Amino acid sequence: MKRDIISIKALVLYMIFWIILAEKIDFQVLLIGLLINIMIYLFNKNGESSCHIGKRYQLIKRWKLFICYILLLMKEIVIASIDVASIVLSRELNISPRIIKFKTRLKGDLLKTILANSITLTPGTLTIEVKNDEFTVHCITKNQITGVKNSKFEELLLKIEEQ
Amino acid sequence: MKTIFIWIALSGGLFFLLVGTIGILRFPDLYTRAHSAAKCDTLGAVLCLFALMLYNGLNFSSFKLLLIIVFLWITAPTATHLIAKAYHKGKIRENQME
Amino acid sequence: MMVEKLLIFSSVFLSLTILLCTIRAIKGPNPADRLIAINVIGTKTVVLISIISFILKESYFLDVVLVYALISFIASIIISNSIETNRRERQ
Repeated sequence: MKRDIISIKALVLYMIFWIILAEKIDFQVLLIGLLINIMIYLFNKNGESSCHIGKRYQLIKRWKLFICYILLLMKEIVIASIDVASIVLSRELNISPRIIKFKTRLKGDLLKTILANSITLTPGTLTIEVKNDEFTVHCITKNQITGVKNSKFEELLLKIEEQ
Repeated sequence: MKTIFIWIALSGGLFFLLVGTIGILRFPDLYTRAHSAAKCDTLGAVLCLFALMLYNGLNFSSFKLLLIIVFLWITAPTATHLIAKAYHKGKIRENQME
Repeated sequence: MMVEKLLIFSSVFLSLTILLCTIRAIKGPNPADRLIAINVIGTKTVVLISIISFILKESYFLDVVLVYALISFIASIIISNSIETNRRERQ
């Protein structure tokens, strides 16, 4: 039953994007935007992503933890770039690259994607492959390995996951 | 006052973009080059666009720049990860064929 | 006034870094090296066109930038998929 009615949340998101693109709020802009958004929604109706906009309630219910997570991510990428800069600008490169694998305790697909993205943005690590439960990660120096195995990101995501 | 913030953000962004490019030229292997491309490049671009947002004030163009910043933040590391994964799988298949 | 001069200097500096990145695109012994260089050049082009749109004070360049970022992402996905499935032998 829910799929026959047009989903309001998707239409609101499309309308916000349309207003940002058109740069003024006017009667013609809203009317043409409404027609185009309905056409785009009907075009994508049988796909995966337009049904799931209301279903990602895990992140929206615990929005305080999510904002803490985003601030932590921003701090980590600044530290990561300064780390890479200090390796690049030194006189000779002292790196010892290696590839490790480790298992994670998360279950949802979206949370594993967010964890993989965050591992890429932490100093010294890069995600190579995610395969059901096992992450393949490449590190630059040897003392980053302990930072990956029990990282702060995984604890925050486990706190978000339990309801 | 705002001019000082714009100067700091823009010069920081340009410095990180330069470091990212030197890293791509200097590192010996593909995985290490992907490190430099994913991290320094993203941060440099985000800082430069943030400085342009400050220069513009509160406007519709600033919302468009914010949209571009969010998109670059999410997709630039993902694209680099996909390239590293493709190289890794190709190397495994080549090792199996020998 | 001072910010205008800084924007013009930064656009010239950014073009020099794009030129440095092309060296890796020509030299790299793998197709994946070249693809990483092209991705970085795409991100730098996004920043360059945004800076130029503020120098010339035209607001419609930002729509071009949005579309270019989307297309560069899709191109990177497709070419990396093609590297993964047909891996040619290098001598």
